[in-house]
Amino acid sequence: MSLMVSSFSYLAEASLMTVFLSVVSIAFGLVLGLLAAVVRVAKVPVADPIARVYISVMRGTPLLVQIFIVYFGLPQVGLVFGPITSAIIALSLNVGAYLSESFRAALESVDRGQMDAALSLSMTYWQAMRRIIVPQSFRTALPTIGNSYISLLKDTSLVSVITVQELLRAASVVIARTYRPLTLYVEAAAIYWVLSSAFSLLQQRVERMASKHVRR
Amino acid sequence: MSGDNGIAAGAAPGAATATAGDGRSMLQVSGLHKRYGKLEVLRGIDLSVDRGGVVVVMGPSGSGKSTMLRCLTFLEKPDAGRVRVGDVTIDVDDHDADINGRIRQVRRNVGMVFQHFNLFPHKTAVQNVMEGPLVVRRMPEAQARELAVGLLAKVGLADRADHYPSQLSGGQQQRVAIARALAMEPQVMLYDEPTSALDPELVGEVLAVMKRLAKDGMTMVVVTHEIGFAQDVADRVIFMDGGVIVEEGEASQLFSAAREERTRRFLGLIKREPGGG
Ligand SMILES: Nc1ncnc2c1ncn2[C@@H]1O[C@H](COP(=O)(O)OP(=O)(O)OP(=O)(O)O)[C@@H](O)[C@H]1O
Ligand SMILES: [Mg+2]
Repeated sequence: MSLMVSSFSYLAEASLMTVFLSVVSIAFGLVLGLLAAVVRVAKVPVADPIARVYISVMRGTPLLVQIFIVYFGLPQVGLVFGPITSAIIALSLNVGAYLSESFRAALESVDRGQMDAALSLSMTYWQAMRRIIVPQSFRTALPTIGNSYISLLKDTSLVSVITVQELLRAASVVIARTYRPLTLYVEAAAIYWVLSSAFSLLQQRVERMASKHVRR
Repeated sequence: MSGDNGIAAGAAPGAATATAGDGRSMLQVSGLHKRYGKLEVLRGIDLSVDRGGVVVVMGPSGSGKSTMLRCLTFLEKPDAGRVRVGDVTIDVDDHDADINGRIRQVRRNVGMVFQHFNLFPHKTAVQNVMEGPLVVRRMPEAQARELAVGLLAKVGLADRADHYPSQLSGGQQQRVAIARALAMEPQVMLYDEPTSALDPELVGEVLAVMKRLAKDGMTMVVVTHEIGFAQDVADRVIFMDGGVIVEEGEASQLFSAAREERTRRFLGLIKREPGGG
């Protein structure tokens, strides 16, 4: 018990890195995912097949392998990134692919009459997308975005293998000194759980706010 | 009926029809064809509506009424035909660089009202009405709001400006939709069964707004089965079936003495519907 207390501030500090990685990666992932989804729904030439391959590759290969390719593989072709940058690149690309599928489903679920109405006001296709279709799809996609974020939060533990000093890595460091794996892994698990639970609560509130005026 | 905007049939040439294309009709459609796969939905529609004219379109389900309206503004691309609104003409066979510009110009000059309103659910009533002026007409926010508030007042919804569509009744939503279309200051309004998704007690308030617009001289094409509205407002009633215009005439003539058996049979059916007037 005293080990838990004494190691807590160390793990808590490392969990700031976990939060940082997940927040930055979800931000990039949202942009990337929305872009890929819009490109696919609008069937933009050239970009659409590229998006399709990107999504298929990211979803069809293990995240750990993606992390290795970015951190260990890319230096071979002259692209050298530090551990944290590599982690953010791999996590963003990965979560972006999943988010793009959520966005695509959400974009396609917006009633066809919305596009009709926007075009009838003489908006261009892209004005209609930006002002009418995308904002509505955000509401629909909100629950899955939340789920993706929670997965991402836990997936950040994988980047401990490329020496990023995040929560799991910090626990491993203490274990190496104290040989008390049960205590420390349970402690790490507890912190992950608290973080994702806190986020879930936040998500519920945001969803309630966002759906206030939409009755379907 | 206001005298200056009936059908100008037989009007003396040189009579005061200054602006809209030297006395030509406001809306003209010729040879409109549309097919979905093997199904020929429009098989050659010719239609001409004078400035200030009101044309009511009737016809059985699947006869192509909605498709015709959608083809007029190229929401659906016709396979053949030509559409002119005011001074802007689009021929389906045009392949010049500016065809998309002309399509957008036609859409700008034509207001569209849908059966299911299609209001933007994430925007309030006033924001719905402001959207076109802000985005397309690039009006400053304050001016767009003033215009929108005025139009909401005109459709009797001044006190609902800040309500979301989900907080409005169907009849109120459809009136907001009409105000939204009017905000583009269109030359022509198209209505696709504007009251058929409404509870019977809400139909009247929407028809009243449409009647007032017609009396004010708006050029309109209205797909509806409201016989009373047609009798009061329409200069001409068109009966469509199987993708063609089967018959057209003045409301009184068509409703009492249609030439075609198909028309008589259809009118017999809708007259028997409760509330069909
Ligand atoms: N996008 C589409 N794809 C395939 N078929 C279509 C499409 N839109 C319409 N149709 C078909 O075209 C025909 C005419 O449809 P349209 O909606 O124009 O009829 P309508 O006269 O408006 O009928 P209603 O009174 O039911 O609204 C119908 O048979 C319909 O199934
Ligand atoms: Mg229809």
